[in-house]
Amino acid sequence: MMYMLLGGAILLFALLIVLLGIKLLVGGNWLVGWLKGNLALLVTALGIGLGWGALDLFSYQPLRYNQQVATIDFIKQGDNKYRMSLLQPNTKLFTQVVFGEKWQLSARVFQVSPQLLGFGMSPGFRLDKLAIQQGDKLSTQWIRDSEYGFDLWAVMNHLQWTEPTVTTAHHVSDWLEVTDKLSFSVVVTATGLKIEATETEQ
Amino acid sequence: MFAHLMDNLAYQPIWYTDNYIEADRYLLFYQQQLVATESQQWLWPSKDLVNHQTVVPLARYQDQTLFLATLDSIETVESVQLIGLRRAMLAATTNERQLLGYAGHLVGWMEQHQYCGRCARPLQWHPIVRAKQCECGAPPLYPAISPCIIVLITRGDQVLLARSPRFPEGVFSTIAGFIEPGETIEHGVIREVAEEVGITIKNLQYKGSQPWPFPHSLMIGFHAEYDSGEIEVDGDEIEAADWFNLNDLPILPSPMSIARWLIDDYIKESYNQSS
Ligand SMILES: [Zn+2]
Repeated sequence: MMYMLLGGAILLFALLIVLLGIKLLVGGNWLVGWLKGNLALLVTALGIGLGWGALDLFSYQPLRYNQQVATIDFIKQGDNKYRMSLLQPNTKLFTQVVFGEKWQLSARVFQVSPQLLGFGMSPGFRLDKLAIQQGDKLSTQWIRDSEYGFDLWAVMNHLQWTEPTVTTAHHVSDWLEVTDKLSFSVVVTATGLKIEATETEQ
Repeated sequence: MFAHLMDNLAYQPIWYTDNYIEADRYLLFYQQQLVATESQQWLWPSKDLVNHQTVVPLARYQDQTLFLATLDSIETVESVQLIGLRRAMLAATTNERQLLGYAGHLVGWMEQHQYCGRCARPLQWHPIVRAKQCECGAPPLYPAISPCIIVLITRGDQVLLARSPRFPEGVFSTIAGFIEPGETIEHGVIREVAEEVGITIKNLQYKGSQPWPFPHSLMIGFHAEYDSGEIEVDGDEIEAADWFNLNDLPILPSPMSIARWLIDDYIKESYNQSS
């Protein structure tokens, strides 16, 4: 929700900037207009870029550390063949047939400073990839990719963003055995991804 | 006793006589599975309700009146997904889990009890209480609840855990079993322990209970100390059992199960004693 609101707010802001750019483009005489035009294009581009990034934020969930954020389970369908189901609240059930013996989950996290936490801003995360190992073959499945062609997290991560208010982190779990009917709980901690086997039987 | 068991129930059961005639939201089930939207929402506004088989009042929950419906088909409900009750409960919050467990129990009962056991005519809803009845005059049929004991047996730093053949690989849990007709709860515990692992216990202490809809059970949880005997696995209900040191435990049941509460409670207790 938080990230929806934030994304929405930035989107609105971006739209304002775009409108400002367009207004600058159409008004005024052309002598100054050429300079203005360049500036306007820049401002418009900035707005579009910002809006693009905001759309990407929609795919992130607010993160509460040390609490279960998802469950994942595997139901055997054949030799080394399993139906995997990943269940996250408020998200479409992600289910896929996978082949292999071992799996590993990764998540990207936006970490926020204590000051921002004080303003009610929560860290955000997105489970991004599931890796499956079969023999010496490794396959990777995107759980959620950036749908709008702009990957804000990847850009910030690549730039090694050092702005102290928001930083990026990539958490990868240990390799775990694929086990029939066993359910795993996924917990994000301050330092990584903790995955524990749980079972609903008594 | 587990302190959290004294917290209020997350919902308040309702029936036709409780004056909540209008539903705010519906819980939908199809073939014992929970019907959810693509984004995991399972409290449906009434307009989305179609083609239901049975609709009954369920509960007041977070200031809303909930009804329970079982569906004949889900073809007409757009973009839904079915989630098994166990999976849904694992992913739910504590409050949601209570509600889902309750609803799941009722759904199971509604589907299993549709005809009179005496004259085989279709059963009708009782007008005043949540029960089914038959025009032949057979006594009203209430939702069945099966009492089931569950016990953690300890010996100093060790706990006795066992695995059933239906458990996933590597999972061990406490001893459990249904009470038989004519038995007290205490006799049930002693008998189950003797049958499944062949030992005797002492200092039986009640710890708490938990409704468990897989199927229609009420788990009655105990702690007991080892008294005598060697572990002898029955090979039928239990395929392996052993003493596990608290520092070296196998894969345990989910933290949502009373089996796990019993184990965690003992770990905490031992930790407090040693520090
Ligand atoms: Zn009858």
